[in-house]
Amino acid sequence: MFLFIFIAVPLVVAGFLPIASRVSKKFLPDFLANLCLVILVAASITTFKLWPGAGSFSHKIFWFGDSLNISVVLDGLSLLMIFIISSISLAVGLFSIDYMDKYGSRAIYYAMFLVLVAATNGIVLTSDLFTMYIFIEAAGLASYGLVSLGKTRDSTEGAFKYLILSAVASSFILLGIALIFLTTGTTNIKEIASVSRLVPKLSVILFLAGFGLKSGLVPFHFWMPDAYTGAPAVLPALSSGVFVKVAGVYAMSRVFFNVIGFSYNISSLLVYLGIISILVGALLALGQTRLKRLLAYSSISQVGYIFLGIGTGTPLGIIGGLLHLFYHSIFKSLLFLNAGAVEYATQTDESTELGGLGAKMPFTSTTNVIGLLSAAGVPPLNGFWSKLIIVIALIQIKMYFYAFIAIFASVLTLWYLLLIQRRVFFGKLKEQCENAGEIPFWMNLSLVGLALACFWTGVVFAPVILKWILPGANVLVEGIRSSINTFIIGGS
Amino acid sequence: MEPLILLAVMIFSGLAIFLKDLLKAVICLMISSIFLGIIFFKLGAPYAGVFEISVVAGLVMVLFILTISLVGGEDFVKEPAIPVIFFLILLGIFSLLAVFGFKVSFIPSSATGDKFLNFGQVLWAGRTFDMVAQISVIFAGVFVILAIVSRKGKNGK
Repeated sequence: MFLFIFIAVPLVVAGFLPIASRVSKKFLPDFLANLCLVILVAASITTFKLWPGAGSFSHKIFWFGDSLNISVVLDGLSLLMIFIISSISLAVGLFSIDYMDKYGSRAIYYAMFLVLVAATNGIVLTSDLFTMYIFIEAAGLASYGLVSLGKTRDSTEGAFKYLILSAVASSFILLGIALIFLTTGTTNIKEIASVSRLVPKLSVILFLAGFGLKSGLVPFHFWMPDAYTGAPAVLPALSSGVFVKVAGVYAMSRVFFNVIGFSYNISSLLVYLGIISILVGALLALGQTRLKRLLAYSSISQVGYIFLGIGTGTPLGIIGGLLHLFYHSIFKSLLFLNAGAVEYATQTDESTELGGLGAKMPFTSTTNVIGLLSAAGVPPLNGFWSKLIIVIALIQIKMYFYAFIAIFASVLTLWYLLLIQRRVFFGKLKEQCENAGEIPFWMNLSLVGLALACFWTGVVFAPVILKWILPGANVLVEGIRSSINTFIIGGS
Repeated sequence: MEPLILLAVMIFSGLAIFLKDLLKAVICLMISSIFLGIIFFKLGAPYAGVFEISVVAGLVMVLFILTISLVGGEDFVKEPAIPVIFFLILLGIFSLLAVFGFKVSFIPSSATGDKFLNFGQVLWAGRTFDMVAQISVIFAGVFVILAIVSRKGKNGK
């Protein structure tokens, strides 16, 4: 029952929020939603403490003594994801307390937010591909709603584009699942894994396109800049930090490593897509002047690093990929929330209209520097260690050219993010920024918390790897091992 | 009983194509999907039935209604005649196939599941978690539409 609270609690609170808003329009929705997120963070830490360190445990749900056929499964990888979902959501939830004042009904906003959290938890905890698909759709629906909360024409257009492209992605995923069901007669992850040789090759392509679209990998990235630019900053923070990681990276890794079985071809595809995304995302980010659009392209590039690491298929590469997944969630959420703070203070995220904000917003300026240095991979901040491990993993398997591109793109990242920092926070104070002031307490608390996390998780990267990343990496490595065994046994 | 259900599928599918009001067309498509799901059950493919009702009658409908809310479905759409002609041609072809006793030679038996389970048993015994996921979908759909409606109300358009 304990694990089911990750899905049930946010869903129940989401259902209750519109009623609570009749009593209090601001305080109760803020309080209940954030209390729910605090409970989820506490639950994920408790789960981590109860975690034996290896294997997986599953729970059956009981209803008045009768067993329901709901089986939630938790292993090292899902534990890591649950922690990322809960902690990033809490940071975004705290930021929303002051930020969402101008975006209409809080109760509806938090309700969509919590449905997104419940659905992403569902994706991570389910042991069935079809259920995973429905949860992906639920999370996607909540995301479209959050994108459309922006009051401009851009946000509606972004939401519409996002909806259409996501529907295409979902069709691919559903067709992939249908093909697997057709050939294996089951949608249960464990049962499919035991007969993975029956899985048709076409479903691999369909999953790659479907999950690639959800992750924003090049060439499936078109929706991301438009969806993120018009939306309130909390959506890209949540989407880039949580949704893309779960519905894209996690789902694809789970399917390729633990269901279909990892192969050389899949590895090559992931590495190629990863390296193209790194380069294209970084190059496209160079020409951007709108903060959220630039960060969207930066996200495409950083997701490329995750796939590059995981795609190598080596234990070190997988550790690097998962570590970057974790760290990117922190620093990219921080950067998007910083962009939101700038937009909150100046009513614009167009960097050409901004300048000299550092003196007016010292906290935001400092947290932005920490976020950008982490993104660029400057030591001792967290992004440095994950990128370093990915580069070492590439050198270990003699992919020198890819290692060079990874380093080169990191320099590009530092360049375009420093340019933005200089333009927005340093230099002469511009007219648009004259009335700007430091942002309210809860927004600052969230930014400072994430900035400290960037610093702290960088300094203590070794325990982070040992306690959080290694169990997750072991799950994927185990997937590779069983595919090799299936191949050898099947081949002999 | 089965011919009647098949007839209902045809009628509601036809209505989904012919109706000019998008919302009514979507509702007809949903009803048609539910009947199609029932046919799957009758033909001994309960899992296909559950998936049809879950995905098409549930999830896809939420997506359609959401899209209509986003783009504003108040206006009647002037449609080209091609889908209607295409529908009539397909209807004719399948009617002829049905009349002349066309038999499908290959039905993948592995994917049909247990033929002796009814809808409730499949849903309750096999797909309970899907219901939780469907609740998330319904919640998300309702909240998104509420957000869009309240925004349109405030903007006055």
